[in-house]
Amino acid sequence: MSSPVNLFISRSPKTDRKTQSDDRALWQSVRKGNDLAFSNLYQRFSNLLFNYGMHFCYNRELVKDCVQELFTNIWNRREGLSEVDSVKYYLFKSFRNLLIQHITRDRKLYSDMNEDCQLSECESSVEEELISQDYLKDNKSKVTTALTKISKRQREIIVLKYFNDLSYAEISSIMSITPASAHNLLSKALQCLRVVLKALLFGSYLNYLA
Amino acid sequence: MNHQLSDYSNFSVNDFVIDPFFKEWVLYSDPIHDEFWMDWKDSNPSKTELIEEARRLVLSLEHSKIEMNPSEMVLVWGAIQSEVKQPPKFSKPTPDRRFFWSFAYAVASFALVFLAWYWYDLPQEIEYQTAFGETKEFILPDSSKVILNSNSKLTFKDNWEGQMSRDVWIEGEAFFNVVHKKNHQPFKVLSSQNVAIEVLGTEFNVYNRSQETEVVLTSGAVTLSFPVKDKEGKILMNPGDLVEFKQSKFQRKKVNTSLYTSWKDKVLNLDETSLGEIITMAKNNYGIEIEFEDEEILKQTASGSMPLGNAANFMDQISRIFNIEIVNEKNKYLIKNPK
Repeated sequence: MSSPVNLFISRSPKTDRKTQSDDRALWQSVRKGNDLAFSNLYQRFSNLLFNYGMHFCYNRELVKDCVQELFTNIWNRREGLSEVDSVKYYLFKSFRNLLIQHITRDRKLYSDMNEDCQLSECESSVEEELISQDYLKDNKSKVTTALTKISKRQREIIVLKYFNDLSYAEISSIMSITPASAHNLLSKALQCLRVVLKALLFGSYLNYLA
Repeated sequence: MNHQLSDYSNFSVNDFVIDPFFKEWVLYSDPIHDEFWMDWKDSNPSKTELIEEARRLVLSLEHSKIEMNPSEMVLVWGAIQSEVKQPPKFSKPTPDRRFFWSFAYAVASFALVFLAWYWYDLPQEIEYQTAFGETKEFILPDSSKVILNSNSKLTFKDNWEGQMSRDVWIEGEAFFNVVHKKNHQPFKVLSSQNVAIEVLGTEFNVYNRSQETEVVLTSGAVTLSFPVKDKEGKILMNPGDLVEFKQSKFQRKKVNTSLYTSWKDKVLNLDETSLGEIITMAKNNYGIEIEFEDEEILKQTASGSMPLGNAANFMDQISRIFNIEIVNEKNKYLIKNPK
């Protein structure tokens, strides 16, 4: 039985504000030591953070370690946590710091054996991973390759804006740039992505003709 | 909703790609989004190309998402749990080694449990069922409560200890009151349309009849996953949400949940509910046949509440509420036209 009244349209700005206040309530409960809220927080954010981390530096184990450390820290320091305006922003910012810490630590560890390979490894293996995921069946998958063709910072801002819908103010603070350059960076990133995509599609079209 | 609408007329491809409402439409086309965007396209014919490109970009971007698989998620969660339960750091002599061993123990015991389960203890399948006109309350092995509505069936395997989740299958309608477990083992309800409702502890109603699944959440939070075009869609429901999944499309509404859950207290709450809807319910729950002389009559609505008794009693009340004549022959009811 469904009555036709009270149709609730989940328009994005509305849902957004709503989830933000939901997140804040969840955060409050975590601070008070509610373990159900803590597991909800993990369920809600772990994969968003993981996706961000993987585009930041492709190293599955490292990114998983960072997710683990972030949530462990939150719970262990729950009493000292401050109230936050945007839980998502707080998590992404802390997570990014952790990622950088881990990457620099790893790089120091391996720099004797293997000079500066970390970053270039990051770049190429995303592509490999994505290609291996069976996504190369049709043209849609071109973007997976395309994403690796744009710069690291362009990719980062796409993940923050497109996948996580953070505000420009939040993004600029996370990436330590001005809001204006965040705007520019994003539009450049999407522009590049479109060009790369078109080129890839055109390439496959030529292949098809040949 | 009008004041919230962005002014899409000046949008570029980039603006569309990062607009959440546009993205929702591309990824999970539901009737509300479809209606809005089809209209918009019709009134902005010059933007068709632009919309198409934005659509392609969104579809493509979605493919570049990298996620942990469920077992990785559980492992990381397990690691967090074992980290946070340890005493303060200064008393740890060799943290890495200890962590390795507790991890190894966890893996080994998990493997043992799995082997034991596989070789010796094939789980028993348990089935609860209700007849027409009957509602029944059951307590599950984890002491969660289920109230089964008429003509419904609940099945599960009695092996929840050591499983990833507590899985149950539902046909018909049921109200769940799920107990939260200390180890956060999720509770999962699966319907015949491959919709999975995943919760930790909460209250909700599931309706799954004739190619349709409908979930109403009373309190807490649940995650719904359902198949959309060969992949999986996911939504997080909030209290008061109703999500309907039908023909590979979902729709979300805000509802007064008591309208959907009152049956468990043997009361039917009506809020401008049409006679047609009431008849569908009566057919499903009482297994009776109902015919009518004129379809027009089904559009009449009523509000209020009425007790749920047996079929004869129910139809008698319907005739009084709607002021109509209902003739009963054996298991068949005929709704007459008003004179």
